[in-house]
Amino acid sequence: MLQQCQRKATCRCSTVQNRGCGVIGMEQSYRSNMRSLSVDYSHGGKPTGFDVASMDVRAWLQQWPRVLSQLETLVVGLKRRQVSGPYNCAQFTVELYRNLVGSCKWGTAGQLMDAVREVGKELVAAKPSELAVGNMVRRVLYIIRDEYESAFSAGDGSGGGQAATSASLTSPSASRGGGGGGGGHGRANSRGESTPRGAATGGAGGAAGTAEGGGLGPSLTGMLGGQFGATDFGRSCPDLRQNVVASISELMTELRDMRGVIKEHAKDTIHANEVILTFGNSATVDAFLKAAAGGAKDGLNFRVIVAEAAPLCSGHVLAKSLAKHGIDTTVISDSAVFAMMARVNKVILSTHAVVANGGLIALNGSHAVALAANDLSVPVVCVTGLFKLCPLFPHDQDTFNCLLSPAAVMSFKDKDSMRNVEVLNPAYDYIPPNLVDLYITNMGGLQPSYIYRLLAEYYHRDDLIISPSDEQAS
Amino acid sequence: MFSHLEQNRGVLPLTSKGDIHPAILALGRKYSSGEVTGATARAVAMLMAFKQVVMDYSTPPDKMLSWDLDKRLRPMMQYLIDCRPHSVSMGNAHKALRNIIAKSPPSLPEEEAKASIVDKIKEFINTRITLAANEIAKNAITKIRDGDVILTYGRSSLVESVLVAAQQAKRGSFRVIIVDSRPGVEGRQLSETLSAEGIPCTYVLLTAISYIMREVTKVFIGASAMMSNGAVLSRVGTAVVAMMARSHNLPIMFCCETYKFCERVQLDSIVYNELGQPDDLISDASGGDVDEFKALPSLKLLNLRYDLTPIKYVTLVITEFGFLPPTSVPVLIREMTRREDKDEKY
Repeated sequence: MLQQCQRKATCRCSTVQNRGCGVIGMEQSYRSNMRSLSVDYSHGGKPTGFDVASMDVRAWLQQWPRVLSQLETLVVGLKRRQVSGPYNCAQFTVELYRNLVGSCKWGTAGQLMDAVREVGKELVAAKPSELAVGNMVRRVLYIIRDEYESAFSAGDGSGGGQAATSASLTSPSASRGGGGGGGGHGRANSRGESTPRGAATGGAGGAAGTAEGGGLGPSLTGMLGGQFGATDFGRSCPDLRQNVVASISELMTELRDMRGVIKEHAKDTIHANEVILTFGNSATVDAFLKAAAGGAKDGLNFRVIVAEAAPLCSGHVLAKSLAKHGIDTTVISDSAVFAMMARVNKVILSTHAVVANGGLIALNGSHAVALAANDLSVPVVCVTGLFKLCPLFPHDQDTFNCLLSPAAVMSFKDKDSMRNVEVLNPAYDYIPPNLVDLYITNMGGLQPSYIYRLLAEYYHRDDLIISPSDEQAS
Repeated sequence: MFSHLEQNRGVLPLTSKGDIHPAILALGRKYSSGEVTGATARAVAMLMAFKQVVMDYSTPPDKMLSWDLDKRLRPMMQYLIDCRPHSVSMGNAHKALRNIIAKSPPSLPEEEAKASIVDKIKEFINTRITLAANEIAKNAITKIRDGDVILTYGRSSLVESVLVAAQQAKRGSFRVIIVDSRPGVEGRQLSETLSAEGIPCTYVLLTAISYIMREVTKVFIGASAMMSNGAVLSRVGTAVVAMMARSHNLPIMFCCETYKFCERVQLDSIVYNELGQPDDLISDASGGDVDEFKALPSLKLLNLRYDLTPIKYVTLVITEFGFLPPTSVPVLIREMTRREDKDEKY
């Protein structure tokens, strides 16, 4: 039922066009708008900390008009698809958060996290299908938790009593386990590492959401139970702003350098005289293949077949770019994918998001490519930065999908006799994890079954659900 | 990889070459310009043109009609193949035509012999193509039930007649999803025809196949040729559709007249194929500029016309003789050849 409504809305909506060239132009204007909003660390008046119970985040942000206008620009940009693609979305989201953390007077860490969450809700609601936005909100929350914890764990006894012990535990999952009892959850991974007695205590401590666990003193079990069990992130932490801003800047650097790290794996993945098939256009795939092709001396000689990815035919853009680099490139229509697969050695795909079960949300049509590769036992390699790793996963095709303007499939000028024909143009495909053989990420090569483990490295369990729309997919 | 296939040369210049009949010259032009496409349409047009040739033919003195006519037709067939590589349906129709001419009894006076050949050509078109299509439609509509969502790919004249027949026979309400692909976009014509018939239609491009497939209950596709190993040679993209349907455990039914059955076997889409005009692939959507593509020496465009759907993706073949599993294709071919040798009627 819902889907039907959604469809009708999209079919009849003629105003929102998603033509490639238009988006690029608008994105540039968006960027120039953003540049004028340089980071502003000064604030006038008497700012107040953010209190989620009593105020709206926008009302609070009015004290810092530049941050507020940056938020508004991003929300509008997302809604209008002026900001699109996981990389751009992630980058702009992190930029916004760096300014928010740096410029605003937010009070305690807990209040900052509330503000981050509230802003996150707005961003996610603006374009739920851009999953990278939610990922970055979770990463920022994780950074705040981490900085807050390490501020006390590294301090002398006065700051964080038992917390000091968490520094002795090097496992990231365990130290995180100590930090997040606030949500009242016991963490399965933390408990798994503890002794049976500790598991019981830890579980109880976490579930009760109190500081009981801390009573066990500087022991492993106490820590796992969450001596921050009642962590309200309310203690004053003078260096927090500076540390969080520094960590967010690191995250931005990670985003920027990600493609460089990924393409280092290119020469280990592709060998000479291979035939590689790819689908649509992606900056990561482009960089990866060019790195494999290398220069005149150390370069590999291989062939690339690019399926065009109708209706926008973004594959043509990739093909031209590769051919300009001197790579032997052949463009085929999407329909010839199965026919050509018999001669292909590897399929290299890009993706829109990687979901928790190791599957992909990728450009519409990728599923057929992956299935054809699987049918003929051709390995499917997905090259992606881990900022696309999303802790949610879909139970069906609709959860993360959206329908784009049908004008790209059939122009409105077409014959009147087609008036009663329903024309659909979905944006994404879900590819189940069994069709992907390898992920090449900025963390190296990973298999799909390992993806879920990485979630614990990047996100805190309590941050998984940001907006109400996430609940149905968690 | 495709050096064994001839690159499409576009429309050949219309030069009157030797003994080629004007009807054949006109047809060749229609083939190469894409005015006549589709296995059935091409075969029928070819037979009609050859019928004209036979009618205008007169045997030179001292020659025998069956020998001389066959010899005259050969360069004409070659001309048609030069215009566009012939389909299996055309090959089989041509074989039947040669058979008809060869069997023309030498004792008959010329006018009678010609009339008998023309009659037999008409009969071939009628029984093997027109009536066969009706019979297939009659068979296929028994598979359409109330509430079905039928997916089809591109435009097959046969599938079109099946769906129209099902609507006219009031086989309950059903809905059709038309999957289409660039550069042909022949499915638009089908969706026009079907929506004019009052059938609710959904039109998507091939890239949306994974999205749309879960709504589907049955898949009907037309074939260009049935290979004797059970594989189906059809419009490029058919294999993608069949594969996706199979992964959703849907029945995939190929509608195919028996004159398109072929004794050849084929394992992949590359050993035999036809290349279309490469420039057709360039589109406006990506800021397509033909010159920009041509300026890059390492950039090639490959426009395949056919692909081969392996036997594992073929649930059923619907013919004028009834429903066949793909494994029975060679049996039917053998049976037909045996009857042809005995000159029996079907």
